[in-house]
This record gives sequence, C-alpha cells and structure tokens, in this order.
Amino acid sequence: MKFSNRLIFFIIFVLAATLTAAYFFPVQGSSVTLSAYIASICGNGTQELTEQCDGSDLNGQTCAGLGYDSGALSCGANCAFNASACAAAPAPSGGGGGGGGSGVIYTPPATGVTLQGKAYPNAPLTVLKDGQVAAITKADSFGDFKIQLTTITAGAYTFGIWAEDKDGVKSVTFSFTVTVIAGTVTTISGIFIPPTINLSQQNVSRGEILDIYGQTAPQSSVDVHIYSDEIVKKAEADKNGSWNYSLNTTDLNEGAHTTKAKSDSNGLISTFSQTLSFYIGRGIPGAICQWANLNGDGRVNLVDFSILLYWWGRANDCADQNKNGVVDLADFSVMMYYWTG
Amino acid sequence: MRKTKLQFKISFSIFLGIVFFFPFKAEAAKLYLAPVEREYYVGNTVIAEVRLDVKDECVNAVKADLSFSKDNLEAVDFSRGNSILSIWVKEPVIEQDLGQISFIGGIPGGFCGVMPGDPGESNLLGRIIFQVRQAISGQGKIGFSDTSEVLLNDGLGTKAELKTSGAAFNILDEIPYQFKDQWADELTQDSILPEPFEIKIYQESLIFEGKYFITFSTTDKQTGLDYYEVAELNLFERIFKIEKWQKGNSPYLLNDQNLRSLIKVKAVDKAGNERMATIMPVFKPKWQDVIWILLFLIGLGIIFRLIKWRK
Repeated sequence: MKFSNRLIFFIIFVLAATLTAAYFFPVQGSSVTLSAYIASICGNGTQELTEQCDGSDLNGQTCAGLGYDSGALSCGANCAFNASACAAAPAPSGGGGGGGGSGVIYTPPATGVTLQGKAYPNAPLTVLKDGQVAAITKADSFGDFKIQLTTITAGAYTFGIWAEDKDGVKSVTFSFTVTVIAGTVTTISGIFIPPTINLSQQNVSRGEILDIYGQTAPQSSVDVHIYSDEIVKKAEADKNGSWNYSLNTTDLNEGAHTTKAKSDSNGLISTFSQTLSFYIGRGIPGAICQWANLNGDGRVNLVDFSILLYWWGRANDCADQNKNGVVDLADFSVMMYYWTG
Repeated sequence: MRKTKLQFKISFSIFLGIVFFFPFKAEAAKLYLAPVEREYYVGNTVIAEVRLDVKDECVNAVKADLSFSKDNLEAVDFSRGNSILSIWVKEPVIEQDLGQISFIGGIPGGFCGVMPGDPGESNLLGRIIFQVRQAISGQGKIGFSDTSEVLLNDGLGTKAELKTSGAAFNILDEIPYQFKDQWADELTQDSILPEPFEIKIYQESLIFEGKYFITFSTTDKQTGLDYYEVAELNLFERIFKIEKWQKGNSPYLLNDQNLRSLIKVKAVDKAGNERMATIMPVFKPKWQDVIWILLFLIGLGIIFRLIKWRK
C-alpha cells in the first residue's frame, strides 16, 4: 500500500472513529438515572446553569439589572459577571463643587440569606427555596448548621430545610416564609429541625413491646405522643442524638394508632415529626405510594407533581393519597406536606 | 402547641429577636383583598392584592375562586410576582365574560403566617390588575366564591376553616387629574430576569404512556412569571441556529422521544424578561443505532476501496 493510500485510510479511520465515539459518547451532559443535564463549560460562549455568564453571553443581564445606573457589563474569565465598568449615578454635587463624578465604581451590597440552627450530628441537610433544592450541606458533629445562600434576588421566599438521620430516614420539612430585602443579608437563626421517627414494626400483638425511635439534636428531651387517646411519653436523646422509647402495648386497645414526636433542646422546641401509624391486633394492608412519593424514588418533587397533575380529576390508586376516589386538592396538599424538592 | 423560637436578623447585626409560635390548634385561614381604595375613577388601574392570613396553623394549598363586577371592571392581568405560591396546579385564569378569576397553588413545606419582624408582608398570593370601565352601577365589587378552599399542612389534606373578605368601592365618572398607571410603570421598571431554573428529563410508567417528558419550574419576584416556551432543536436546527419556540408548561411531553435534540426552555415574565435553561439529553444507543454506525463504516470502507481502485 502506497503512503498516500495509507494516509487516506488513516484519516478516514480517525474520522469514522471520532464520529462513532461522538455519536455514542457525546461530550455534553452526564447521566443521572433517568434525568440528564448539560455540564457547564466555562469558555464555550454559552451561559449554562452554574455560570453567571460566558463570553458575550450575559444571559440578558445588564449593569442596570445588577443595581447600577450605567455602564457596560462584561464577563470574567471565571464566567462570573465583571461589573467593573458599571457605574452608579454621580453623587449629587454640593453647590457645584463636586465634579469628577463620572467613572465612580459602585459595588452594591450583597443580598443573601443565612440560616442557622440545629439538626442531628453530621446529618445531610437539604435546603429548599420556593420548593426547589437550593443547597445540600451537612450539620456538624453537634448537629449545628449554618447555611449561607448568596446570588438571591430580593423578594418573598419560602425556605424549607429537611434532614436525613443516620438510618436514612427523612425529617419533616421545616419551612418559613420571609421577604429578602435587596442589599441586606437576612439571618434566620433558632431553626430546629423536627426529630425523625421510626417504628420497630407496624403490626404488633397486644402486650408486645413496640420500639419508637429516631434521631434529634444531642441530649434533647423527646416527647412521644401516642394516639388515639393521647398519651405523652418521654425519651432522652443520647450524645449522638439517637432516642428510643419502648412502648408496652398492654395498655392500648386493639386497632389503629398513630404516633409522632417533638424535641426540646435547652428550651428550643421543635415542631412535630411525621405521624406514623401502627396497628395492634390484626394486620393492616401496606399503603400504596406512601407519603406522596408517587414514582417510588424516595423524593417528592416535580416528577411526583407531574404524575399528580396527569391524574388530576380522575381516579388513580397511587396519586389519590386520601383515597376519596379522585385526585384533587387534598392529594395536592398531602404532596406539599411531604415535599423534598 | 407547636412552638419554635426563631431569631431574625437583618444584616449588620440589627437584632430583632422574635419568638415564633406555630400552635397546632385549627383556627381559621383568611383570604382577603388589599389594599383597595373607597373610590376610583373611570380609566383608573386597580391593583387588588390577593393575600392569605393564617392564625395558629400552617396551610399548604390554596384554591381561590374570585368573582368581580364584569360591567365596571376589566381584569387585564394577573401578576404572580412575589407570590408565596411556588407550585401551581392551575395557573390564574381570567374569564372576563363571566367575571371570574381562579387559580390553585401550593407552598411546599407549608405557610405558617407572616413571621414577626419580617421586613415585608410575605403573604401575597397574587395581584389582579383591573381597569375601571364605564360606571354603569357606580360600584365595583371583587369577592371570593364559596368554592375557595385552603388546606392545612398536616399531611392529611384537611380543609382549614376559611374566612374571606372581598372589596367594594365607588366608581366616579369625572377624572380630576392625570393619574399614573402603576402596573404600566412596574412593567417598564422590571429589568430583572426570572429566577434561574433547570430542566430535568424523566420517563415514568404512570404518565404519558411511559414516554419521555421534562419538568421545570421557576418564579419571578417582580412582575411575575407570564409563560414558558419550549424548543427542541435537532442537529440541523442547532447548526443553522433555527429555533422554533412553542408555549408549554411542566410537565412537557417531548416531541423527540429519541432524545437527540437540544432542549431549551424560556421563562418569560410579564415585563418580557427571559430566563433560559438548556439541556442536552444523554444519548443512550439502541441496537438499531449500532446497525447504522456499521453501515456508515462499511460505506466509508467502500469509498476508500473505490478511491484506491481508481488510482
């Protein structure tokens, strides 16, 4: 084979191999189970999710949009806005003596939110901003956390925080609504994530011991409420935040009961945990699509909401959480309660 | 009693110190309109804020059905800007002929009332923008229908006891001065884009017959979100930068079920500011694709042979 033929063959081979590889393994995007996302590539001239800008693509932002009065916004090499050419309006001159106001660089104060509080030691925490995941972080070994959210615009937000305990059980979302003011850092402290709760079994014979347990802040006092006739029992959390109450079911009637818990850590009282059901006597059938997790992925988010919307006004065993025969506002409310983002 | 101590601080250590109560005892939730003046002139713009108050409880879902005097008032817009509702089952629908407006929305995790010390009034559901038309009856009325509902954040879908408070005002013919159109001013001043968001691709057996669909959601804190547009761009359209947009909502069933197209979603607010999100689906090859690749390689081989044979 002549050298020129070999060269042509080599070029065609490389071309074919490249096209094949590109066809099967596109460089953009990476797989996350059933979803996918485009990775941010700084320098490709296209603003992507984690970038403020990229090259000339400023994502529609301007100096005015950042709170300046004039100037030209540009994009830095790190794909963050460069506002050095933005300027505030010249300061009003006193009696004509001012002058030289042009070119004043104005740095607007940061707008942000700081969330501080208690969860469980080393617990993974998920922060929701208007129902969407805004941050994922971890509490320290004492269960304390401090989360700072930046790049936030002024306005009313509903923030939610939920934690996962050492056994992977999720807490109820602790949520609150607050207006964030431009140019201020709003700090909300004293947040106390409700305890997690779990049962050793869902069906027990009368007289059997039922363990009700979970995790909370270390050394907290836990009130365990048992219904239908309300009984309140006390449990103490250990240094890891683990708590347990062994319930003697002799004193309870046969039938369905529920339980939930709340914690007290040095006077800081949490909201209630999830409510769990248990049955003394004959067994009860397992719930379908429990806790509004309609697709069974362990999260309650927009996908579950999509499923709910799809079945809205119709009958569906899974989406019909309150079993009234139709998917309606009550089922939507159940979903909002269990929302994890 | 649900009791939590929250301390609240606005920058520079200005300490307001709040004790925050969340009792569980079920009390009434209240849907109301504010602020509405006593008198308006023909041609005035009336911005009626739909607000929610809760006392001693947390709620998470709202169904609001409003009626208004359709002969005197024209509902020209509905702003979701700064709404505490972040998930919308039914986006606001204005039916001018019937004099009705309705929407259904939710607050993930629940809404337990305005926190003491909150620098804003964080209980807005939305704002209805009315234009005052000819004064036929001389009075304008906006009210909530009995079908309105608010549900408790209790994980059971329990209805809250609901109170409502509408608004009534006189409409006068004479225009004493050149009035400002507050809504038009807001639209002009809003240059801030909707909040960033992301698109996710899913396939669920429970919906769309197991076909691929996308989800997306965002908010706009100023004039409010107006609509979404979706574009699916194949290779040809990407190369020649042809973008065919069509209005859509989440969940959106993808036209390209082979997941070869770049997907773009544009969130547009009432002032026309656009926030875009894109996603390139991960290509998962099927056995048919392997055949096409093999045919392509064989074709290349034949071309190479032909070139060699001619020489």
